[in-house]
Amino acid sequence: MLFNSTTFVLFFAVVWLLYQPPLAWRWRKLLLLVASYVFYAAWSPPFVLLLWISTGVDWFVGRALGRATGRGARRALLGISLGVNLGMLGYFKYGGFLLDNLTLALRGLGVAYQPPGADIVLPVGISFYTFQTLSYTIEVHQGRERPWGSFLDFALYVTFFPQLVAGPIVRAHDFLPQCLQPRAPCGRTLGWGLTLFVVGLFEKTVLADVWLAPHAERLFDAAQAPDGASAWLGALAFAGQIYGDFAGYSTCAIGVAMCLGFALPDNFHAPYAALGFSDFWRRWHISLSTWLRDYVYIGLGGNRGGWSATQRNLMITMVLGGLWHGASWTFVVWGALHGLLLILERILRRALPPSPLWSSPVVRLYGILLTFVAVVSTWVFFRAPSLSRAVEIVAAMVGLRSGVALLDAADQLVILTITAAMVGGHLWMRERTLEEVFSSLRPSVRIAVLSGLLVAVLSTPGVDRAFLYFQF
Amino acid sequence: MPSSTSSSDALGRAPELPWGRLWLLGLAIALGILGGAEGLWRSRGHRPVVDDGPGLWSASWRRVSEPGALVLLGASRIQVGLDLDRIHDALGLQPVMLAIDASSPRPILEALAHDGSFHGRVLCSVTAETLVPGPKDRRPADWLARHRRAPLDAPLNRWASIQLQQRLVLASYGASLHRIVYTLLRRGTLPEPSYLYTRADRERSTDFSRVPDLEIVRRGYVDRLKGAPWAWTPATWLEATEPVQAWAQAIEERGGSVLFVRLPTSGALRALEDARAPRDRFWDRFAERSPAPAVHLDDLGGSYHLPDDSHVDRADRAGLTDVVIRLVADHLQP
Repeated sequence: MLFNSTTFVLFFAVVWLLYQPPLAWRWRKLLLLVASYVFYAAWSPPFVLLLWISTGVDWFVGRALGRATGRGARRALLGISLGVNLGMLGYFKYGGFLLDNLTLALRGLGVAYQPPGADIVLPVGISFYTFQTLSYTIEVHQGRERPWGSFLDFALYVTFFPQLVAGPIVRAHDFLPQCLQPRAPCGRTLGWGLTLFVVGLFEKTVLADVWLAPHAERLFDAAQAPDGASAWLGALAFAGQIYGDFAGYSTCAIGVAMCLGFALPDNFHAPYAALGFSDFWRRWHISLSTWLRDYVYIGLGGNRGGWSATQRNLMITMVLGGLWHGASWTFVVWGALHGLLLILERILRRALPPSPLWSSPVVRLYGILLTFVAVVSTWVFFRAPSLSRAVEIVAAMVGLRSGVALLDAADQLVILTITAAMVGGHLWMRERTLEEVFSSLRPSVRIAVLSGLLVAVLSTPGVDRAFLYFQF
Repeated sequence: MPSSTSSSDALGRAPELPWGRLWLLGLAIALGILGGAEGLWRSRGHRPVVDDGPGLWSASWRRVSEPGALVLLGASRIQVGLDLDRIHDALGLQPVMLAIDASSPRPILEALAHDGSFHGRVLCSVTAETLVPGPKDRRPADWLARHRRAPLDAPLNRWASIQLQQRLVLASYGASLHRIVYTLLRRGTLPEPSYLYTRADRERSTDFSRVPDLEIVRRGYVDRLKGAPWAWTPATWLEATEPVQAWAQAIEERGGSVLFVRLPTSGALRALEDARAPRDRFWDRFAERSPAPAVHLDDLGGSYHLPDDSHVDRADRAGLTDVVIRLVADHLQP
């Protein structure tokens, strides 16, 4: 069930109305849980079983960890949780990829092996809910979280429909305490929640789907090699599309949860105004980057083993982060490129002498634009259907190869205008929150903004495009 | 505790504003603007049109196994060339339009052949180019994959979308802000009503009087065909059509029936098609080999007015439909 669908609007209206009567909090939570299973089953009912497995295993592992005292037993319990969750993820997400690469490797060794067609369907949102539930068992294992007492609360934490299929990846300590007291949505949270929902829909259905995705498709899915301008503009279009698509989903999720009285963490904060790559990852898919930092990077030793070990840990974390997005070498290269950029940034920080020059607005703006250009370049590997196509596009971007013009003057004008508006908007929002900005507007401007967003969303015909992050 | 992105203050950050008034006014203004735009478009001659696409196609695909279904495969020529109501009235069959603009019917025919439960009637419009593997396979394969991945609630969403598009000009792409901006940028005018009209059953009709310069359209078809790679010899081409023959045979062996038709083209487009794939060395050899009947419409006489050299004008649609009705009655199972 997509947020930008009629069924979701009907579904949410029904759930919201049923949620309002002053029934016992336990019954209202049960309603949200059942609604969440219905929401998930709309994609494929059998995959609800995977949700139940993940929920059940981590619930019992968490309880057992609370009782276990021996180091070996605690490790074994954590191993069960990791094995089940990563096993499911590995089979459904990486099974085909591993089999393909094994076949290629064996062929390289002269062994003709043709595996049976796997044809594995990826359950929507599996990367999100397995990471979410894993964070709970890891926290309990490390003693930073106590096993939660209510199975209903825990099941709702794993399954809560606003963020179930594409995040934000919520931590137990952020969500579970909200289940203790009845959540009472008021006019303020309902009004702002609905506004966030409309903002998210605008980012997704208007900007990403209609205005940018076709240009990105024209570059990445074309058979011909692009010229330099098409390569850059198509990459810029994808940079805008992926932001609009994913930040749009997160904003919708936060808004929907808020209408029910729940708070979800921010997932994006003006990422294209980031100054440097560390800053970019503090602003882009924040719930994933903090998950990877806390459980992979720090788990590998973080910066405790000296300079070289730190860079190695950083690179491993980013490559795994890339692979989390999809079972393809293009994602591995994308992750590795970000790892390299982060290492390069650290080297520069060590090498450059302290100077007031670095805080001058012009130099900072230059750094922000440089970061943006580098991030856009890496998106090529993220979006390209193959490594060879990505290399072809990058070669056109740096002038090593020239091909045909894939985008005409009107396309170019539209992409440049939207990109300039987006980067300008991110620069303006760099140190502000959406709430601050919206509150500071004059009442007439607020009404104009809201009606403008509604006109744009309602007059945009639906395009058959699912949210990009569903496939991750 | 790791410093994850805390959400504890998110609810507290929600602005304290007169939300009821804000939303009521915002909605009223938005609806006023949309209502005005709807009236403006209608006054300029626009009418509600259903957008063709993977969602609408998927709705048709779900009907292929219904009793009395006549599955129509091909590209735009069959989609705009046939009057589906006329077929239904004449034969009592339910036409299911699965043709996809600018594409090959191969992936769809293959899917029907592999669907063991399908044993219906298939009318498949083909050309030398679309009988063999090529880039035109991509879109139907993609639409089929999208259909298979579609969530359970997709039919309800499609139904709601069709209901809106049948009633409101603004609900289709033709009147969207995107089209307005692009038409202004490229032509300096507001969008004119489209010469294509699509119904909810995917029947399309054309009104070529709305096309300002048909010569550009004709040249476009020729240029696109010239740009499409063509390295087939008659022998390699015929060999490459074997899967198509096998799929037709599979359907016929299950009690279904398939009819291949080559619809008419004219002018420079036809000259180029004939130069690339002379009929006697390509089509005729395929027709000899094919386990299912294959009919070239040139053999049935009749002349059709094809304003763009590729598609019949809506005025000639009845004539072409009647020819197809006779073919279906003669060649496909009753």
